[in-house]
Amino acid sequence: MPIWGTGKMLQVTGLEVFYGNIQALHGVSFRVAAGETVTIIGSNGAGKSTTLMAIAGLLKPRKGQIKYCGRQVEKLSAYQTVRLGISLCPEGRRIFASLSVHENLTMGAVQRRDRKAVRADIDWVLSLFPDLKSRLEQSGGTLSGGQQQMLAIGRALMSRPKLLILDEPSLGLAPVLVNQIFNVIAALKNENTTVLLVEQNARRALEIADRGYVIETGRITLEGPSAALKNNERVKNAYLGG
Amino acid sequence: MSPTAYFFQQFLNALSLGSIYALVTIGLAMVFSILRLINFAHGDLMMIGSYAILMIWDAGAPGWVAILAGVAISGVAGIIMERVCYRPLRGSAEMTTLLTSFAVVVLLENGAILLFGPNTRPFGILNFSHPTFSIYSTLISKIDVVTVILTLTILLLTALFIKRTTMGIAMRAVADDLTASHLVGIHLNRVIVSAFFIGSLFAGLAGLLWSARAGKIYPLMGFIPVVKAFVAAVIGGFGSIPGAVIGGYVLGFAEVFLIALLPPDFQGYRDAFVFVLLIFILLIRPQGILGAKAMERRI
Repeated sequence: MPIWGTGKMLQVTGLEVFYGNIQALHGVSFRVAAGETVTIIGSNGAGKSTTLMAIAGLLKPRKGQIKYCGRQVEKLSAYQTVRLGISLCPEGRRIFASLSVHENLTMGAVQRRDRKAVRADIDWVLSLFPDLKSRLEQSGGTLSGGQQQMLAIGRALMSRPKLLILDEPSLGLAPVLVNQIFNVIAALKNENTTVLLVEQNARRALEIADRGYVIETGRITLEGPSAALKNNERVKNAYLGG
Repeated sequence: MSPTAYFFQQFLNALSLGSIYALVTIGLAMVFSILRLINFAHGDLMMIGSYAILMIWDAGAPGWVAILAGVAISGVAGIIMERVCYRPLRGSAEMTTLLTSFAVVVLLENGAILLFGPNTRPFGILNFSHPTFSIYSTLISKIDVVTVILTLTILLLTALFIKRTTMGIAMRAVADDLTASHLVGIHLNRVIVSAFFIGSLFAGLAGLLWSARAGKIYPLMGFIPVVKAFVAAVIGGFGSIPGAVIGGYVLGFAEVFLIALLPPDFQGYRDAFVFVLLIFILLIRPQGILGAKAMERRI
């Protein structure tokens, strides 16, 4: 059981992000402690992915701070945040379609120089996702949706992140595969990986997370331990289907 | 000369011309696959390399030193071109970068005219004392043999580089999905600079072979080869590196055998036939031999 507030890994304060003149985030603030699993739930277009992309360095916020392990990271580019241990598994998987499964995993470790450990980590990822084992030389584009999602998570793990960010990992997957993905997240959680999870499937997300935030039109409107959010009437009506 | 000997002679000639086209086209394709930039100034890197080789050689350096240094200068010129002309425009529309590449062409070619004068200069390096030899009554020119062997070696190394090295895989990854490349931590600028450098080295080398074949250089010499490379890239599928190689050779063979088979009166229209071929391909298979169906926008 993590102790909240200690070992603060990620602290986002007053984040404002614009797409051109359109403001997507209106001062988003939240935190993730080391070892915690935190989820952000919200409907389409509420700003979940935007928040994650700003943390990963794909978008530059106009205002606000992102503090990670004691340093300001909101001005860094993605290749720099990866070096610091942030890894985002993006919505829609975005695996490299013409690269083989093995090459996809290699690219996940593109900044690492410890070749031996990288090889060991490929084995570790394959033990998490045994379906990929027989497909190492197959190109990513030929995989099924579920396998692509596994590959995307595996690739994100290859940088040995301190903070793993998952954007909609269960989107569009059959229930069996959703279970498989969440089992892996649970396993990572048991290994004390810090996970920030964005999910449409709010029920599953709140089951696995320690704490949660609700984001609505670019603002955090609710926060609390997952158990409390699950029983909150507003959350029930809006995200858990009554 | 027997028909067989004539055929083999033309075959080697086509292989040699196709090799040069392939070398030029690879550079064009590498940069395009990553930036969606059609760099028409790529041909001027051939010119820069050739002038550099000639000047270093004229200064008294041994031939191999002049060649290595000239090809290296071409590579560095490519890096400078990216840094000065294209990086400030990163993220702008493809039309903008395309037009910029024409501006770079005008700049470099007129700069060369100012510096070196508009006239052709003899290019005597790789000018063998016995330029041809014969096997079974087939007349073989040494420059063709050098061109083919050198190019095949480079193609093999390029294939290994792209298939096996981290940078090679990263280039393919960036071509596949730019956002995902950022997310896994690929340093985009390094990949772009590498692509420009490798492509420009190849352009320098192709410039050497092209100039040695022609026996002369002039400031506008890069124009025809880059247009031909553009055609080769279209034939092979724009952005595909294997396609660039195939396109280069298809174009080389098409040109040489069109000339060989057509009556002598038509030989002056050689380039016209090439562009008719281009129009024909654009009509029936616009994505080229190995090209993907659709090209999406990026960067």
